[in-house]
Amino acid sequence: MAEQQQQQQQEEQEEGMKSPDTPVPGSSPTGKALSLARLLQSECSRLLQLYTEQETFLSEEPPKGSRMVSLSPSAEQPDPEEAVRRLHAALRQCLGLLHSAIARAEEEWGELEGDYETLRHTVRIRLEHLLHTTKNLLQTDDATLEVTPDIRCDEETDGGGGGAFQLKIWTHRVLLELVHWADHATQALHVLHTQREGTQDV
Amino acid sequence: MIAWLLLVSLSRSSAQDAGVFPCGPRNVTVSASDQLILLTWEDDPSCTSRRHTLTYELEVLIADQPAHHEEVAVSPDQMGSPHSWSWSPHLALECAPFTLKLRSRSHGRTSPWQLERIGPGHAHSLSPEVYPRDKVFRVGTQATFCCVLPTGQALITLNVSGDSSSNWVRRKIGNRTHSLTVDLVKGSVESGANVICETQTEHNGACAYIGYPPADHDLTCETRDFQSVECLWTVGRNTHLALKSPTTYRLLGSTCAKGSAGRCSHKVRVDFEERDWILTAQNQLGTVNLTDRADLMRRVHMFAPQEVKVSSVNARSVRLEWNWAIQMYDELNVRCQLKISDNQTSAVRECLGVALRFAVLDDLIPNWPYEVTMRCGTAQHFWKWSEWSSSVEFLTMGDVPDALDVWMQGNDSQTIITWKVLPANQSHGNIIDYEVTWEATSERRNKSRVLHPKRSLALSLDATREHVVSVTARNKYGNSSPSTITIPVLNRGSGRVKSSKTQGSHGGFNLSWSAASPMASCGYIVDWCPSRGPCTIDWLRVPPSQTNVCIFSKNFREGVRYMLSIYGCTRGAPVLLERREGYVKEKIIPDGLFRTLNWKQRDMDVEVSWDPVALQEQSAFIQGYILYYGQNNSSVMNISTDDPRDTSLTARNLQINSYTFTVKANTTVGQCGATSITVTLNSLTDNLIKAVGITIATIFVLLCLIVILCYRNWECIKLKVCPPIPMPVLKDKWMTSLTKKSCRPVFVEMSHHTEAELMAIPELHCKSEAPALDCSYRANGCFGEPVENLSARCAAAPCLLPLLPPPPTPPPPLSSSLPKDGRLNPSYNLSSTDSLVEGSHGYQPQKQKGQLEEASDTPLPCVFTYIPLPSE
Repeated sequence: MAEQQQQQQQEEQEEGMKSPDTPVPGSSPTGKALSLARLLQSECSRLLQLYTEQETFLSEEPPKGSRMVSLSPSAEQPDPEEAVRRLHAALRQCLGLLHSAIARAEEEWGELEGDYETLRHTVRIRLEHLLHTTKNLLQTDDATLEVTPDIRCDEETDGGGGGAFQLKIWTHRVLLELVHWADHATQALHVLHTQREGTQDV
Repeated sequence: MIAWLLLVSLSRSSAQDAGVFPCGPRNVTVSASDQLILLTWEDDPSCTSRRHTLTYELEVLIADQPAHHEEVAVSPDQMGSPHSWSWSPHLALECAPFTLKLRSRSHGRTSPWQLERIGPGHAHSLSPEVYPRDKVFRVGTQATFCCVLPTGQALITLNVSGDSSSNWVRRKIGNRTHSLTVDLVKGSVESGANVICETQTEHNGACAYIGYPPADHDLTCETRDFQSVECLWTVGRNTHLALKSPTTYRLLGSTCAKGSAGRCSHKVRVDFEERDWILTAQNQLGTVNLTDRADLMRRVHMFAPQEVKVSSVNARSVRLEWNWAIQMYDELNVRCQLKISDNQTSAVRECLGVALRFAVLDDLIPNWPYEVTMRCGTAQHFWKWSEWSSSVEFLTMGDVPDALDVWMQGNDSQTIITWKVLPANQSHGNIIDYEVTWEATSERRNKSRVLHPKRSLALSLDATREHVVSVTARNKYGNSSPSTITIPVLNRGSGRVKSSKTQGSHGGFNLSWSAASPMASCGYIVDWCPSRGPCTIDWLRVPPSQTNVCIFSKNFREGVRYMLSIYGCTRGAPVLLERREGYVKEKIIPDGLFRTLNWKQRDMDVEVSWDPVALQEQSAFIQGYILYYGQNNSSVMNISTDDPRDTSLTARNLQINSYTFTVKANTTVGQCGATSITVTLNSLTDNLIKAVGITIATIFVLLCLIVILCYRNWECIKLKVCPPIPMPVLKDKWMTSLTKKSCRPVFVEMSHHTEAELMAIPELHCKSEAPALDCSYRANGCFGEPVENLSARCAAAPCLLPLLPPPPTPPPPLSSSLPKDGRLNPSYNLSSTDSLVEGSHGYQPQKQKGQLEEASDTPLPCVFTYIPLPSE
């Protein structure tokens, strides 16, 4: 009987992750976080689209390389809160990558004011907001989550030294990473929201 | 990331060998940086004693292939000092090994080659590497890129993204190295073109920035504050290098602020001297120096006046005050432009002066909103205007209205004094009313007040005398000065002026009239109105020197004929000079112009006639008429007239057939207003028969009418023609008793001879004398009251009928009351009489009885005469 319930819950979680495009959640903390994640998801997708329109060769080149954001191994079936906690760490790395991408681009080409740069700034603000929101969701007396960018100084995350072309390739990867984790955030927060609010109607 | 490995291998030949030129290069060094090869060397000590020029030969091999050859001449005075040579190869140094060969030569003798090698030191890379990286190229040049592949991989593609390059040439220049040479034809995007190299498993690339050197021009320098120079120039074409190598500007050696596109200023002491002002524009592809030679004291570009405000606002003037942004402007002779605008117009006025800080604006319109802005420049050595200052809005004070424009319009009985409503810029306040005064010479003055917005007054003036009419407008500030017009003696002279035609053009009339009239001392007045129909007259004043005018009015309508009158303006009454009639634009007259189209056949001719065309119907000048006629399905003929006053046209020599006649008006816009009738022509015999038939029918109808009338009025006729025999006035008792017994029936055997037969007494008739019998023939015939009396009275007379033989034909109408047995009842049958008279109106038997009784008491008023019966 317990196995059946667990299986059903897993199915519900998967279902929530499969269909994140559901109606706007309510005004609960998880609902707000989920709305924010969905907004970030669409903005990241749009940001990637703008960049590939600008650097058309990127749309012809399949992304290569492993994930830039890496997380420590976890249990096979983490509970929703743990999943969001892990996601929070991933988003911090994403924010670090985005910070690096902005700095490297400005170093290479100076400060620009195009549509891409404007949306990039928006995504950065949105991501920081989502980090604060998820931090508040998971706040406990025992632990407090960080919201600062997690910048890892290795070749993989600092844009490399291969010149402007490498920077473009690397920026493209960063944007793909952002899209991936924004999508993941939507799914994870959907599951958490479902668990906490006890409704599927989000 | 790329580590340069400089390999210097000195393969020096032994100079000690016999027969070898000993004066060769010594201490040769080679270095490379930023894609530039630098070679340095010294002369061999043996060379110092030489008196002739020594030549050094340099040869560059790229991947062991000759790529460049050059010679350097060293004069004897240069001997002993170090020498250098630099060269930028077309291929990046990372792409292939470079070998530099150097030797000396003199008088056919050469030293041995000295070889120097520069080789790429590629770290072991898993992905292809493309060189050069992030290099800036100039549009129009050729560029060579290379791709160094990882060991064991093969090249799939090597190309440049975008459309900034063409004519690609790929070559393999080493085991792992491929080159791509392209012509750079367009500037790249600002983030650079991408040179991409791809193997089976990996891809990599490099950015190339393709653009132009600066092309800025037209430097102009000036001062605004006497403490700095400000230079302006025209920025050249897009360099496409705004990101990688943005153009930097330096003015007099000082760097201009970033992003200073076309403008840069620099603190400098401004003196009365002419000097060069130099601007340098630079990017990685080149430098441009712009120079402007000027004395800045003659290049003063003032700042706009500040704190502009209006003080002392009057009806027709205001005072404008302002301050200067720079104190030193007070020492300048300044020229300012003041732009005064209202909702409709804009005008610029100028003022001039030293330490100019205010100006008076006059000739303004009272009660009128204005907006003023100003700009200034130096009056001496004017350079350019300042920017316009911020604008100031104000409203002038109100004033009395301007004088009205008054005109007149006369009709048969009245003179209408009319004036134009003052527009806001002439009313100077809301108009309350108008005062009209008029007077004939030596007469008392009449006055009338007309409330606004009415703008006319009808006066009944003595048409035989001139009148002087004055009109003033009044607002809250007072009355306008009067406008006077002298009303001439009605129709004097106007009848003598004939109107002529005029043509409209472009929606109006271009009128010109005969040379200036001496009478028109104060110009001309042209007024206009539709020739027919209601009219609100409009007019225009023309100066005396002008004898033509273009008239346009929003009220003009096409197809309406206007009467335009040209008056001469005199000290007295205006004098009518000319009259014109015309259309702004003539329009086609719609079909059916002729309301009634009549025709008349005369022998074999048909005259078609119509009513004169009303002027309202004429939307164009009618120049004549055309009559088209023809039989069905046959050719159409026509006749025409050029006289617009004609009202008929005759088609001649027609055949007995059906014809369609169409009348059209001929106008300048074509034939129009077509109206048609179809008629069938009759032969002359037919006409005669028709005339006879009509006559017979008419006679027959008349006879019938007479018969009907006679039948209906038979009683009366009978009374007239055959009146009843009145009862003789006898003293006989029988008769008296008979009368008293109300005509008791007396049957007399017809077989018996009556007394009348025996006595052959002539028939007795009742003479119908109206006054006596009151038997007048009125509209209601003889059946009215008087007739009743008459009937009664006349009915009393036939009581003696038994004495008379029966009348011959025709039987009297009363025969219907005879018994059916055919026997004549000579006596009065009252019941029959009742039934007879019942059909008449209002007959009352009871009354008749009374009347009869009364008649018995009174003598009969009839005048009885004996009328002989007609023989047959």
